[in-house]
Amino acid sequence: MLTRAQQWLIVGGLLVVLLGLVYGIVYNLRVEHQTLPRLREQHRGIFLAAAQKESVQVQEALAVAQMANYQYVRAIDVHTHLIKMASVSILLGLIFSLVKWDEKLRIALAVLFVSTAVVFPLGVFAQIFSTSVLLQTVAAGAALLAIGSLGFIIWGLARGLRKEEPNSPTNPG
Amino acid sequence: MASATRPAALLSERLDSTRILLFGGILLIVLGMVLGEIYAIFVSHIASVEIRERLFTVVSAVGTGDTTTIHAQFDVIEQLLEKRGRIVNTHSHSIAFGFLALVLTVLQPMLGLAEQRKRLFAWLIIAGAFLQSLCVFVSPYVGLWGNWASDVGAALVLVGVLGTLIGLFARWRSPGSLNSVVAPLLQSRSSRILLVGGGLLILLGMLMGVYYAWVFVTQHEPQQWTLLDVALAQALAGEEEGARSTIASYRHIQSKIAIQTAAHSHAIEFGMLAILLGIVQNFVLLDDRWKLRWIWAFLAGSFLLPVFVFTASIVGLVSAGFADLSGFVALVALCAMAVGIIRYTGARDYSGKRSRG
Repeated sequence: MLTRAQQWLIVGGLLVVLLGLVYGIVYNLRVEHQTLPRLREQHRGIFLAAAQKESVQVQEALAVAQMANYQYVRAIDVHTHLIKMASVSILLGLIFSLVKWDEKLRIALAVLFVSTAVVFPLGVFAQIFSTSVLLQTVAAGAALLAIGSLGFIIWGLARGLRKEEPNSPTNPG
Repeated sequence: MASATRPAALLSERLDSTRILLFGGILLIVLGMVLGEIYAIFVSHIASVEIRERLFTVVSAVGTGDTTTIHAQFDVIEQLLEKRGRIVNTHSHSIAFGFLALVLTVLQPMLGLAEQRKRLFAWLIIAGAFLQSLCVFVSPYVGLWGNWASDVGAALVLVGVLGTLIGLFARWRSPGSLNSVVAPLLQSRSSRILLVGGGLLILLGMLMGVYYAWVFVTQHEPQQWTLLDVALAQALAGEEEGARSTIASYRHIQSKIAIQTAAHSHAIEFGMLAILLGIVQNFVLLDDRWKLRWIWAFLAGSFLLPVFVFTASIVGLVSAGFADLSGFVALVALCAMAVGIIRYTGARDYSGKRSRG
């Protein structure tokens, strides 16, 4: 019913969508409701501490707000990228029959793309808990691999479309 | 199953799961895009200017130790930020759910489920998407239950997607092929242009994303906190002009972050939309010349919007205005194709009734 490459892209994409939805629901329930009010309070607190000439508190408030913002940005990033990359994966799966490479390369590209759809957001998620350069490298590497695999897929798509004869059935009757 | 000349497997005459997801998805995307246009033209720039002006007042108040003014200004700033965040949240979720619905539309013939079950899952996805987006939008007016209701909406979508996955596995080893349904839909010239254009847009968006992630982590993210620290020090030292100038730079960095993130995501979203439109070109009942004109208009708007959004962080509001115009052109082209799809389904329903006599 689906080719091997399509199975990876479509089923893999659906599973990643589910992961993104679960993450979004859990995050919204457990974190988001508390996070945004806390972030706003922290920003306000920085200026209030400065107005009260409490320089030590200002520096502490800046550091706390900076870390909270760092974590918040990445937490949202994980959810967005899981869903978006998964949606692209499913979409590519639908049109993959037109990608003209040999079957081994097609499967490899499909596996690579759907894997990066998980590894990249996981790398960003891990950065919430650690500022390690290694984690940044993992996320950046996964992003570059996603771009590379997508580039090859589009190239294969262009090759496939050049070989087909276009016709345009518009009569629905 | 579809023949090579009739894409009948994808759109039947009844309100089946395919039509529910197709029209629900299009509606979600159009509503999300309209909200995005309203936000970009009437909310974003205005709120941004107001926040910057109020921060100027805040740094003056820091210098004089006036905590009452700081509280009053932050009450307004937080309201503006909350409103912007909520609108962007609704805009992006509505469109993301719309894409998901349209992608799942094509999978419907592949599901090994009874039509009733498929319709149920389709309704869960569309209803959940609308519930989630609407409740996020109204949550400040209705209290915390609005947030809980938006989570219920997301849970409904989750159940619908899970049902789709189960349906795929239920027919895993059956004969028949997705490609026999989809391949005939991708033969026209307009489809090909959209597929390649869409793929290139997604690639462009991802390249912009990698580039900007590097800029964000190495420059913009640390810079904004440094600028805030400097502005506070200047305010406390009585250097009000210097503090205001630094706050202006701080807001400029924050605008750049928002703008360049938007350029990245919009390029990818328009690319996805282009590919989806490529799949449904056979259902767009318009003259071939007009189909080509609308798709070129759509692609032009789709490529120019992220470019103008990106340059808005350098050039300013003029570029932002052209970005809004590009988005509007893409939206009009999308609506034209939606009209073509409605004409197609109407013609099919009419010819179906006539053949039944």
